[in-house]
Amino acid sequence: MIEHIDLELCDGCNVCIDSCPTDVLRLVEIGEPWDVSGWKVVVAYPNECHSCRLCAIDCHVDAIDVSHELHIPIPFVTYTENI
Amino acid sequence: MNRVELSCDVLVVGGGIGGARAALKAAESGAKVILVEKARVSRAGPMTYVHSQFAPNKRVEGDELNDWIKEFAVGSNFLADQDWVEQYIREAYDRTNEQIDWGVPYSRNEDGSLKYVTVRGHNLGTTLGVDGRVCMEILRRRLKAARVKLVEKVAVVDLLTSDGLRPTRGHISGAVGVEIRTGQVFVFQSKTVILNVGPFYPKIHYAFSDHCTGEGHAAAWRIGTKFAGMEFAQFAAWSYFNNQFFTPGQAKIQGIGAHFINRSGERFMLRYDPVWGEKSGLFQIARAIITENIEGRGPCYLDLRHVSDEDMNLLYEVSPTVERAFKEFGIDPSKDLLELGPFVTIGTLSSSGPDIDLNSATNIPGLYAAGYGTSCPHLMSGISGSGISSFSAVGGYRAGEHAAQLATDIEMPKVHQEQVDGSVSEYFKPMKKLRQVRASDVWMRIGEITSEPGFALFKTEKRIRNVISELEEVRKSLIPKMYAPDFHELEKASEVRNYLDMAILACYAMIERKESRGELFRADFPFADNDNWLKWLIVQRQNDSESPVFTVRELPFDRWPIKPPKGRQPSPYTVPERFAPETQTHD
Repeated sequence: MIEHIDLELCDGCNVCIDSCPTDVLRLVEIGEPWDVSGWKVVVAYPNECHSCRLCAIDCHVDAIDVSHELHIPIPFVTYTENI
Repeated sequence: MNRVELSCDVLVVGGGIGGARAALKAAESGAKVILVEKARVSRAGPMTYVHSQFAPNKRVEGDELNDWIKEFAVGSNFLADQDWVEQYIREAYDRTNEQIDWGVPYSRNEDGSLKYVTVRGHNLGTTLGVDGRVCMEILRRRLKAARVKLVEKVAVVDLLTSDGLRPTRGHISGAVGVEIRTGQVFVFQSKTVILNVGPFYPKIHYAFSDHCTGEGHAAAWRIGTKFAGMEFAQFAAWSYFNNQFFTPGQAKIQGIGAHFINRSGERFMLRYDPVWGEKSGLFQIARAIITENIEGRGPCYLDLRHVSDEDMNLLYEVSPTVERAFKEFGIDPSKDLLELGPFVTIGTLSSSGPDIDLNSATNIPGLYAAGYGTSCPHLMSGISGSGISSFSAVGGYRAGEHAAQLATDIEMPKVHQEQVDGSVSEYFKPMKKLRQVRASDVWMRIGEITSEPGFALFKTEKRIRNVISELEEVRKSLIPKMYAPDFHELEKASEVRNYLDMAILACYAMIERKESRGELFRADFPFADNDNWLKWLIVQRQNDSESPVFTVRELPFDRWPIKPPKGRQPSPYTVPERFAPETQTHD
């Protein structure tokens, strides 16, 4: 999932939002009481991120950190040892 | 809100490689083309994560061609359409050469020559390593240059017909789309439509294609398109590593010679699949791992310790995600084993979708289909290593050529306003009233029902019927209670509603095939029956009712070069006592 977006680096260019195939990102305008201000990207629908990393690959300021760990429930079970 | 109305000769739905090749060919043939995509062309569908493509290393002719066809015939348990296979082998060579000319960076040897390798399911058939995302960026630029109009972030939610009926007795006349962030409605009036909608998956996060949920399949189903191979809609995979993470590139991992070992270190795949061994299909490997676990020889592992640095680098080069994931979880493949997490669910693996002829045409006049979102006649229950993306290119090209030709011969068909209104009203229902159920709740409920091992692993007619009645209960009681607070969630509600319809259809098809073959394992018919079941199941919606109507299609083996063996072959998978069939096994 998207672990972190560095809002100081993010310049609100919108590219990652278009890259995301599951449409989890949105642009919002932030200011006080936050340390940064302006149009920034936020993870609006975190439960739909499937860690494909396209946003991180396309980010031109390298502001997005994606891990392969899935923090979302998966709608199936794995048949590892016992059934 | 005003609707955006657009018209064209050829409407392409879905912007993966098949859709891109279809749109390019149609535009080159002089047609006015619109390509509509739910995500963004080059950032959508399985092609974005493809790491190798089927690419014959020469023009294959004569006896050699028969040997190549045989590889597909055997890999498909003899169900593959051998005419399609022949066409596929010939034209994959041409389509790949065009892509090479366009600058797609395929893997190369140090001397600059193309580096052909074999992957699972092939000993003869060659593949080239490629980063699918880069390939799609190149195709995207070509689409722009060819003046194909791209309409992105718009989901096609229904197809339109010239008689305003579903199922139709007329001709395709366009489609209705909705912009997924703003709810803007698009009405496309079109002489022909090419569906290139990809597989359908239940949000398994595998292959990073959670946006491929069967909306295009369901739209085609509603207008009366014939489907084939639905009984094989059994997605299975083994790459949920250490119960923590997925990586793409499974075909590539198998291609560099990975071993699958059980607890005692035995390479068990050689027992289950003497022909392909560790290059067997996803389903076959997942089922073998599950059987090893049941019989007490688990857990099972992926073993890459013997793989040379050169081959590991080749894997990392085409699939940097694998390297990154290994690093993130502290895995050193030269020392560590990776525990395999097999799973089985209802979704596309090889074949499940609209039935197409050699020109990618469906039974509905003006409707074509290409790529993974078809019945994949060259595989039909077969082993799918790298067999899809080049098939999409070949089928898409053919669809584009023939749709553009048809469009020059016919008048623009009529769009019925009431049909558009009906589709729009259905789509927007989850927004109309505050209710409790969200799309994610429905996905989890479907997962509970379909993961039950009796159904998922040891199907019998009774267990399939039970699952159908539980899924139909979800359709009746949960779907109408779904609520979408915004347009994004509205699209998610549409995805699960359409997936559910396709999952139920797949279950009905599984009942009809009374044998075990490919991805279908029936505990009550635990054998492949070559005397009675070397044929296709075709299914169609013939009136307003939801009940599917099945017919069988005999295959012309007398005409085809590769003849199947006769008789029955027992399935290699064990059925534990507690999952024994309720009634006596047929023999």
